[in-house]
Amino acid sequence: MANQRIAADLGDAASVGQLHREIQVDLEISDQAVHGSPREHGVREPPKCLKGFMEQSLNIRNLAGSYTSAAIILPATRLQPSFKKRIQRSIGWLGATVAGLFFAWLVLGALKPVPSMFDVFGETGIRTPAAITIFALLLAAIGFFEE
Amino acid sequence: MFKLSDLFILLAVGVSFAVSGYLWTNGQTDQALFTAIWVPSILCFGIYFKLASLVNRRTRQ
Repeated sequence: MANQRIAADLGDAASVGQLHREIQVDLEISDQAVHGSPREHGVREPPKCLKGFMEQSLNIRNLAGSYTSAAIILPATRLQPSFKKRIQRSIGWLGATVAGLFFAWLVLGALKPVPSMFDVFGETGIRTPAAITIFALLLAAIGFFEE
Repeated sequence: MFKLSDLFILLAVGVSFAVSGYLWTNGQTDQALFTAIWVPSILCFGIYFKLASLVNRRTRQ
């Protein structure tokens, strides 16, 4: 059960950076999943007999709140970002960029180095830049959404 | 746990709330009310995704 939970989490994590985050499990890890003694977090090459696999260290918290360091062996392909995840992350960056640009334009326009956002869109059109900003923020929220 | 997506949702809520307040204080009350109703909608959007995530996680267990 715990193995399946960890495997599902790792399958969706899809990036090494995300794998480093702590994964909470509600059951103890069986001997099959635990490999070796506590060590530093990170991904490293396993023994040569397991070519094509990578070893991922985890910091796992159980229901009692205590932490256990463990490592599991995964196919190296599982550690690569999936296409869906890369597209989702790109959408997130696009949204964050658009929102950031509009916010910067708002601030710079208010300080007068550049034409104000309100001058370009018109005073009554403040809803338009606000709507674009909010839409971009929601895109970013979807893009950076993690289960 | 507070995540990056939650931050963006709250930023969107804050922006719409601020724009609503700005419009209201400038006498454009109709537009202010229109912008104000975005706030609960965005919060519902965030709650929906959070809930979907929880259900998905529970289903996989």
